[in-house]
Amino acid sequence: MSAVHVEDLSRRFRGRKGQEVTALDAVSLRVEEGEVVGLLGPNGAGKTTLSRILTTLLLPTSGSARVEGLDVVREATAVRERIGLVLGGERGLYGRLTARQNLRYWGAMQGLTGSHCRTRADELLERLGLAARADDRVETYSRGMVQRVHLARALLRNPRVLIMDEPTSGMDPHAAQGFRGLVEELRDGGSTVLLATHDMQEAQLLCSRVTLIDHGRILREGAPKDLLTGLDSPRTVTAGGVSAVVAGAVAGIPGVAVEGPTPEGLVTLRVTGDDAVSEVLRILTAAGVHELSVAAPTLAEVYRSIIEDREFAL
Amino acid sequence: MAAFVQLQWLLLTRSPRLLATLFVVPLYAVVFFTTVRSYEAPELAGTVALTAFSMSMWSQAMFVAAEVVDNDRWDGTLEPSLLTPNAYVRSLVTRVCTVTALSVPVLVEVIAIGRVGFGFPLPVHRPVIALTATLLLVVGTAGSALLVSALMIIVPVGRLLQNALTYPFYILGGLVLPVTSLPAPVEWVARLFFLSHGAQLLRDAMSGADGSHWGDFWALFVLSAMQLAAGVFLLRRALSRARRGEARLYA
Repeated sequence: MSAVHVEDLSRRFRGRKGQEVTALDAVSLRVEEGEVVGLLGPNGAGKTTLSRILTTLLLPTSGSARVEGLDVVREATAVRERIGLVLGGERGLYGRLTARQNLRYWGAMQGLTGSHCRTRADELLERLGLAARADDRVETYSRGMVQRVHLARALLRNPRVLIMDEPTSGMDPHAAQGFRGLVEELRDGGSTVLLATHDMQEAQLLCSRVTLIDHGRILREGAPKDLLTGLDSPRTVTAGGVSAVVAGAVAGIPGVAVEGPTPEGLVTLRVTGDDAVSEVLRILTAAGVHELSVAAPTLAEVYRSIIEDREFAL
Repeated sequence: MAAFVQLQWLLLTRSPRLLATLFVVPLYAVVFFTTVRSYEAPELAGTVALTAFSMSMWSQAMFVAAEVVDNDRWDGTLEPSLLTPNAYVRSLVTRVCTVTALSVPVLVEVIAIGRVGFGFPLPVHRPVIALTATLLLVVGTAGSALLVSALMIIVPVGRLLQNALTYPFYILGGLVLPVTSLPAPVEWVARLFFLSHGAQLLRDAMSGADGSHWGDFWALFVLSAMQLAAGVFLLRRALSRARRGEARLYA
């Protein structure tokens, strides 16, 4: 049994002018137990709609969605007991309350009572590194700390499945890295995570599989390395101390595009194909170039090659 | 339930403007009692005190308690709250009742000002009737606030409704004049409104009027309970509409 099983799921809204807007269009998806699966796509792609349907906050128009084998429409109460929602952004908590007060309230909302609720809140504050400031108001917290409180709330009832909707949005790199560490801990502890994100690096680091979604449709899914294997995207070779003659030599290799050299001798090469990479490296090292780096294509290249740029396209 | 009361108490005490009623109504009371004294009509002091209290309870419910859900929408806490919809409804009922009940001290404040500041005796001849009627009024008024809070989710212009929900209800509730002074058709409508029976019971409790009060008590009990039930029902409907995507979860 999959932890999350979505089949032909569609959700249509009525727009402001009365027109029908399709947020999800016959989406099918499986997330196995213990997996971290990334849901990647631009704003309005359908990620949040899918997250909200899986967490029972929104009803689908058609199709089915199951969490731990339970139908999110007919067995919504049971689903809610097994699922945790981690929202991104500054909002979603009572800022005038402390983290401890927030967690105790949300614990009561989730059916935890008395000393059990207090103990669980304290445990999570400790585990997520918030104990020292647990009695400060949440409105005084940094973005990363707020996100830890979001995560703590989702973990109050120790759910088996976590749905995270852009959890690191707006975080600084240190906070985002710290948060990813927490997700890794959860993954290692056997939690199932569906992670909706814009952050390709985050998806590549955390997810065993990713699903690319746009206009409510799934465009591609698979393990990041498999998606990269199928991608004929150039590697980026950066080299310093390159003379114009050497740059001209590598520029003549088929599959190589050259930027530079700059007056300082820096060149950036986009090299397509394994043979071309080998030839470029051979010429550069033979010319005595020592400052050299090769970057493999990343999930960001996969994303750009599959999902059209509709916001900044000229 | 204690967690829900505690949440609302903390939210109120950390945003003191929400407790403005407790500070503003005594000022109104000073103005009202000054007028009563200048017209040498001390027999009206009790009515003035009750009017100030009842109006403050109603406005506290309409302008503070009814905004509990809308505030949750602004804070972004409505969405995670809907993960536990039954608990959320219980939480809202408790929180709205808590906010509404915070207007009860106004009655004590107003009576104290009348006695100490103006020398009006303002006796409460039947404290049990006064207390019971006040508790039932809190329930009915909280039910009204729940109705309004649900409307604020369902109707985009719900906030505009708030302003329209004051003076007509002060009249219908017999807060300004006893409902027996209203024209017959309006009086019939007013009799169906819990506030009119509560206001009458409070007047009787202060004046020590003889006679049976059971009629007003039963009417107040039943109508307040119905008001609360209607508020909870509409709130559940509003939250269901949110789940169908027909109401906004974010402000």
